Amino acid sequence: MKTDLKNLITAFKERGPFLFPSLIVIVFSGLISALIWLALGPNSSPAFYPPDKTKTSFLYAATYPANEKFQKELVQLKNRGSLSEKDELEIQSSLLASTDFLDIPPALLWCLLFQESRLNHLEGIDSENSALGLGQFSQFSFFEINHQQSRYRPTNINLIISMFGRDIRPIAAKRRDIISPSSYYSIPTAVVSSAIYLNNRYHQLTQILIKRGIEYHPDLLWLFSAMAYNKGTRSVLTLWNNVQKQNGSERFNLLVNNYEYFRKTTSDSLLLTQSLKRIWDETKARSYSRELAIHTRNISSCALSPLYQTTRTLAEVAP
Amino acid sequence: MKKILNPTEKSRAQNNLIPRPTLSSPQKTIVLFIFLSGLGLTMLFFFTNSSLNKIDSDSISQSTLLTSLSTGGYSQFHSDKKILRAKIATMLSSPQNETEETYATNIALYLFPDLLPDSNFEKIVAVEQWAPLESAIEKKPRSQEARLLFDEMKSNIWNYENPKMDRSGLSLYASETLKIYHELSAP
Repeated sequence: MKTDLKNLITAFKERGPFLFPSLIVIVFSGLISALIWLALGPNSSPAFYPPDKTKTSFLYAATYPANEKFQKELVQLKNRGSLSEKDELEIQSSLLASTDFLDIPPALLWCLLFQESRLNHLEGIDSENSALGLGQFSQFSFFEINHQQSRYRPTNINLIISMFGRDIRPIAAKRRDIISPSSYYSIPTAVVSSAIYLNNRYHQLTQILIKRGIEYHPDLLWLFSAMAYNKGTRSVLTLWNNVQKQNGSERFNLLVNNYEYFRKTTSDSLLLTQSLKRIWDETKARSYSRELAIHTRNISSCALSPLYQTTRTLAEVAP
Repeated sequence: MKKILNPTEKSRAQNNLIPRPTLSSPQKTIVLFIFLSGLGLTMLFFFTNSSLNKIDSDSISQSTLLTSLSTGGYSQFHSDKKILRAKIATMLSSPQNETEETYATNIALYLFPDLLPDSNFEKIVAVEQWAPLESAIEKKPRSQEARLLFDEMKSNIWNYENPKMDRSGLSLYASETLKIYHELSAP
């Protein structure tokens, strides 16, 4: 043993000037290979993986609408007189109070209301449409806000009391008394109710994942909640079931944690149609999947930080 | 008399190969006829079998429950519901095809959510949001209380499938379920 060590030391002394650079070259090559493997390997970190899971607002823009097209449209609405400065300010102040209370990304709620009604709080007042007002509420949205809050979070009721000083429910689309705090045509009421309804969708989806022990990123769950707000929780869950069945649990985890994968999945019309065909017939599934994809793309374009805006061409995304 | 061989036979003879028996034209026609008939029969069997499966699924649909409720009363309804439950359980455990699986999953979602596999994300919602209401309505049918429970159930299902109440309406399965419990809860 001692002889071996002596031989090695002698060899190193004799060939030292050659051995040392050779070792450096080997170590350096190893490092380069490892870096290349990490960057291009199959298990590499996704490009849009959230850097910090505790930070809830990495995905959303601080100012909104984030997309130029919607910014222009907002200016046009104001120039046309479709949106007064007073209404815009009232929407903004109610929105900030609600999102702060319920911990909703403000950009998401603003863009959702913009997508639903173009911020027209009287939308549908003279029509027989089933969906009305700022957040396009139907009779069942009202039912949930008025009668089913115990199922969701108590903070919802606290928000109503904090905003109005009392419980203003039952809330309804009161055409003849639009300034009543119980009327959905009143801006603060519409914003608060819509925020609560969105929060309920978030609560519903997150509870499912929590019960299944699946980790998720809150920012992405808010995007799924906006989808559920517009097309129902069933559409989202059917998509989840399909992704999990076809691509496995690992891919499903990616769907609720990785924005890039979320974007790819929600713009895959074939996958969406295939999922929705489990609920509706083919014709309805096709039209519903198209609407869902457009809704999600519009919300994302409007609410997401420019860092995550991968698609600049919104010509296809007609509002 | 020397047989005149054609080029193939000549080649076979030169290579000491046994000549392959060839079929005459009428024989070929018969073989072709048998082959095509077999193919036709196979296709007929396949499609008939698929249709029979479909008819079998349809015959035990939720509509049957509605009919049994209106014609045979609660006892008939409960008895038919049990039969439907057993059939859905079988379909879910070994579905014949994707259509049958979708059908069984949809019926289970609205009537027997406990039969759904735990991996199904919809199971939790169904177990929490309408299964308890359905049980409560069945325990106190045709009462004011049942009607209130039905209103809640209706709201939950609409909010779950189509919150905007747009032209798509509800799925066939959700509509049928609501029809059954509307009837069951009518005071």
